[in-house]
Amino acid sequence: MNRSITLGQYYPGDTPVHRTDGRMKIILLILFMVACFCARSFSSFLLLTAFTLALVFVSSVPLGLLLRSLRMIIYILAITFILNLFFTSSDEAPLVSWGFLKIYAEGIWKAAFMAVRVLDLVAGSCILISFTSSPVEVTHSLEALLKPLSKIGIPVHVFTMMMFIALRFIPTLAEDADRIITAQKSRGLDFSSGSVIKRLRSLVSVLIPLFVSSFRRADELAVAMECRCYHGGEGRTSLRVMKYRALDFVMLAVFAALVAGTILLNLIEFGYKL
Amino acid sequence: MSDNSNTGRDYLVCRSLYYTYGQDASSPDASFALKNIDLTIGKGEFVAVVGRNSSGKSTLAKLFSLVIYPSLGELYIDGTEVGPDLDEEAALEIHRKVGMVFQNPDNQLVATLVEEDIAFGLENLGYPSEEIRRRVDLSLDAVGLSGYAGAEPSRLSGGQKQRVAIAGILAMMPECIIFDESTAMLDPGGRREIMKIMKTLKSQGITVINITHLMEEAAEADRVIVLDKGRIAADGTPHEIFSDTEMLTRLGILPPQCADVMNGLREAGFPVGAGITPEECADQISQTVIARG
Repeated sequence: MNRSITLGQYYPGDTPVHRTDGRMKIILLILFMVACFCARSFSSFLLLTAFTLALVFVSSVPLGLLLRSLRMIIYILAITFILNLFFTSSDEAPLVSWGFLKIYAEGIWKAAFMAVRVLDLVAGSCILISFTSSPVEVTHSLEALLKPLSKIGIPVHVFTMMMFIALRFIPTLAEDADRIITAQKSRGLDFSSGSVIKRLRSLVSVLIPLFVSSFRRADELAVAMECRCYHGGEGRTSLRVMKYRALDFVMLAVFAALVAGTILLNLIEFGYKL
Repeated sequence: MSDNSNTGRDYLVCRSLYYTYGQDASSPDASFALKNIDLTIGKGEFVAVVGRNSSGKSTLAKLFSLVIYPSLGELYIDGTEVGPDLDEEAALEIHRKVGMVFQNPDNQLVATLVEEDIAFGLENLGYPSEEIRRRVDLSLDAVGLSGYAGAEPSRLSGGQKQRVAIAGILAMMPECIIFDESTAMLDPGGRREIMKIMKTLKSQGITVINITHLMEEAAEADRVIVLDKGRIAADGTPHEIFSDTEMLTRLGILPPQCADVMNGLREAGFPVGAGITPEECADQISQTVIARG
């Protein structure tokens, strides 16, 4: 029963990417996304890809590990590639033409660009957030970043508290599920044979006890929290003090330069029509 | 950790207290979980509360930790009268002073890291982060988990989780800690750890209330309160309670094994006194053997 469950894909390390403040990383991610969507020219995609590779290198996350997590987006990539390939039309003569399907040179470029863009985007955000910050850190950062929104009545604290508790209870509920599955198996429930419908139906006998047990847990947790003086986010302080350091601003400058660089390369290639 | 100066003054006081989980306490057929409780627990006492299932033990714990309020009668916690109209400030202060360790360690830890869980109460009370850090380290030390600040509670043993829960309460510098069957889900090793901590807390002047099914644990307290069907059936030192065989049978309580042995010997005509811990028993028996030659 004592199996360990690792949340997310956190790859511990002590690189500049790991050391960057969690809040700054979220800002960096936004900048990185902007750069990804600004890129239109060949040279800007070259810059973007080089930047992403540099990021992977600096974060010292093994390339194999990254590729494994990119595997999941391969279908999305294939679909966008095919759609762009066939549904881009141009004034020039098509390179290939089968009936209504025509492939233009521009379509190939566009499809390739889109694939590179998605790949860079996913790889970059994996490196920036999933691989180099723990889920707890991300939640803390989100709370800190979104805090100003609570002034206009958005219950930021409530949402982040929910995220924390969800994170905290994933291993507990996984253990519960394990226990229930074993208990139901010992009563003769069969999960591994029969039609899909039959298997799904046997899953119900796991889900319902799981729901009941999580409600009971939630109830007890609420009482325990109240006993420990919890009374909402008002006047709450934190053990963690988040402080921006020089490194954070260096990273900010680097990412801002990336956005500027992408836009500049676009301008050079296409002239001044943005 | 607590203020020792006024040990002995009344801390938890119940006066003709009734509690019903139903809505209407005044209706003639209301069934009460607690009936006519008159009880005074002094500051710094180490009290065990025992009794069969649904004898009202946990209800008492919930009343003391403000989870529920008395239906009838009065309850004073450290001089403050407790009722539904208690203002939030006063309720927070009582929550800070009276901590509760629950049965299931998994359902009372809030955070994903040990140190953050211990900090939870202090964060709620709005302490500055340096003070929180200082007290988290102190509390971890007090429960013997110094190296575990960055550990994930889900990877700790049951006993360690309960110690984290205790540390989370200690960080708030409490005056009273209630253990509501906190050792029920632990293995013997974990149980011993928690009992040791209870004794340490007691020696620091903290009022300890241990609600338990295990008479071996109750025997280690200074005072044992027996609840039966919502009433106080007996209240005395472990010696008094556990040598009254007739009463124990009537209340369906199995005395600690040692007390049982001594009671049996006495009934068989051996002139042994009362004893509830193994050491006491050994002492009594060897004295009797020596006296008989």
